[in-house]
Amino acid sequence: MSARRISTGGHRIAIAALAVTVLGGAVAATALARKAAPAPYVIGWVTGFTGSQATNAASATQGLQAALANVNKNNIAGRTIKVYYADDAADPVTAGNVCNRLVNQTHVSAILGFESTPSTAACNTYLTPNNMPYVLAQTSTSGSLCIPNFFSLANVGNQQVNPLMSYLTKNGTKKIYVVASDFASGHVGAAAVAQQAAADGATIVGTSYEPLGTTDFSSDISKIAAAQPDTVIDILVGSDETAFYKQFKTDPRSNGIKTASFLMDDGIAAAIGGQLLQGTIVSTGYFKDNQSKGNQEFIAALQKKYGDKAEISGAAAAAWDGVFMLAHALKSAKSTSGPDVITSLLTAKTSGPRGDLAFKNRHYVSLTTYIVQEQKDGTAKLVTKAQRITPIPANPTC
Amino acid sequence: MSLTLDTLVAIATLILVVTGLFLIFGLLHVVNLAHTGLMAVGVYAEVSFRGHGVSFWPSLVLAALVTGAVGGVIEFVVIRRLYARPLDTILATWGISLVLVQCIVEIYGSGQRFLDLPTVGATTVLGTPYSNYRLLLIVLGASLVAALALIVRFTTVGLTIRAVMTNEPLARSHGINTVRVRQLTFITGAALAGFAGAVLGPIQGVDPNFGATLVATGFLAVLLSGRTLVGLVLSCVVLATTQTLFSRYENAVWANAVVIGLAVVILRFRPQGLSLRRT
Repeated sequence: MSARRISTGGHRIAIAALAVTVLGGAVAATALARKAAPAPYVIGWVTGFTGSQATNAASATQGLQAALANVNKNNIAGRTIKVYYADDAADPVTAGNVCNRLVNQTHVSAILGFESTPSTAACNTYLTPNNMPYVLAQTSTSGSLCIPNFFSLANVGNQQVNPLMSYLTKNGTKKIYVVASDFASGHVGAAAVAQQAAADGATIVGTSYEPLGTTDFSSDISKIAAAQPDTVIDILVGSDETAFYKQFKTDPRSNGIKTASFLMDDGIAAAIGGQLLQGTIVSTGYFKDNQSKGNQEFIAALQKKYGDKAEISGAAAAAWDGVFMLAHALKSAKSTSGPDVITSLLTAKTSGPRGDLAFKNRHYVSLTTYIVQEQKDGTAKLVTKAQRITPIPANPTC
Repeated sequence: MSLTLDTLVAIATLILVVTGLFLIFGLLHVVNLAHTGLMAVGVYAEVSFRGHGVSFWPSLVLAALVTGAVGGVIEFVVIRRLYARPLDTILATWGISLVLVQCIVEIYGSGQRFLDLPTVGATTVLGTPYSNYRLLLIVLGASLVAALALIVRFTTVGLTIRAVMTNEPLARSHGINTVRVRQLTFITGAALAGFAGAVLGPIQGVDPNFGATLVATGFLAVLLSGRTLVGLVLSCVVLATTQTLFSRYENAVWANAVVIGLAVVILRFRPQGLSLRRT
């Protein structure tokens, strides 16, 4: 009986020792694992989920999320990137408030933004003093911001305007009429067109600015008909651009006048339809019919994640490029400190749906511009492209 | 001639947009901020119907019916409980508009939708070739006003509506079911919003915020109308003509400000608006 008791007690001691060993091993393994996996890099994604930019913001967010899934799965940044979402409501005051919260309460390490220039400037008032990187993942921007922590993946005026003007003037355009939305990029774009027209020997025969949200373009159509240009260049945004084309192209006064755009993306082109849009020349940083490997990978990733609801657009492509650019910079920096990542961004480059992108010690990216012609079946045909165009921001101090 | 036609199109567009708003405000005293959401419901219903092969005219009718049904639900669930608190309806209808827009985003996505024009041809009017569809807008706007005038002036429904608008307690004491009148008015106003959305969709960009800027001038027109149909037509003529002329000869960016300023000045000197009714 007593021997049995002793024997039972021995078993208990052995089991306890085994348990302690296993538990200790597990704790040690966990500790080692914790040491091996660096802490996530926390970023904020700031865009106008509500307000006038909501349509593009949703599409851009799809690009962001698809890219994050890819970057984290393949450990491209050397650590996980975690994102917090913030709605700037396309309003600079709100943008300032949400960025303040992200910086001082959430303690993000960087911000990726799909914002207008005023909102971007407001957001950076909280990042710049803290040496925190801000990467603008937009399709186009005025190029008026010039601050050390700010990096833009968006086209600036010369990158889209110059190749477009060069193509148009080589193909017979001598007289140009500009219709623009009354906002920063509209005015900067119109000025860039006027400057390049003078250089290329073309004449601006008229310019109209329309407030954002314009639904009736009859006064512009009348002015265009009176001016009789060879080509109308529109610098309108979103639904305004769609409404303009639907009204202009069905108006008999537009007969014989060609059209060109440098803010139109595939989503707007699809909303207008190939029947009305055919022949229109578009200068763009992204078009979905691009057969490049980077674009095919981007489309496949978006469709895998969102299925039928995938919104393949320039906005989504810009957000995708933004995530990858930041991930590459982070890996090169081998640090998460703001100054290190900013330094790394200056030499960062990536290749994605919009082609090769590189900062080359600038804060605005050099990129490829595609000149495409819209077709009746709704596709876009590449007519020429200008690669690795050096940006010339509107702000000469950049 | 093209200026005249452009002005007529602007007037007709404004009439199409504001008629539903006018009915709901005039009879129910509800400032319906869900009007843009209802217009969006109409245009997206048309996108769906035409996407399923329904032709243009039937899709307009179906879009109006769908929006009317949505309006019926909104009236039953929310608006009916707020008739005694007209100011609260501003907040409630604004919230409803957000819900409608978000529902559209969930169903159709946030991007723009393709909606083609049923006709892209042109007709020559007094020597000026002009887009068929824009001419159609003029015809539809004029027809809508004429139909409303006939209904209000010569039918029992119109008599009932006038009675309720003039003195609701008295109308109720004469056996008119004012609750039903309110319900039907909201449904009709919603259906007209949907109809306007469906008619204007083919020459606009179609996204979930459809109609937001169209309705801004619409509210001014309703304020100037003095709750009469004649006042509504006059206010649409004054505002749309001012906007068109100012955009043509001056600056489109300032035209909106001029229209708002004009409305303020008119209301300052004629608080009853552009109604011809004696006060």
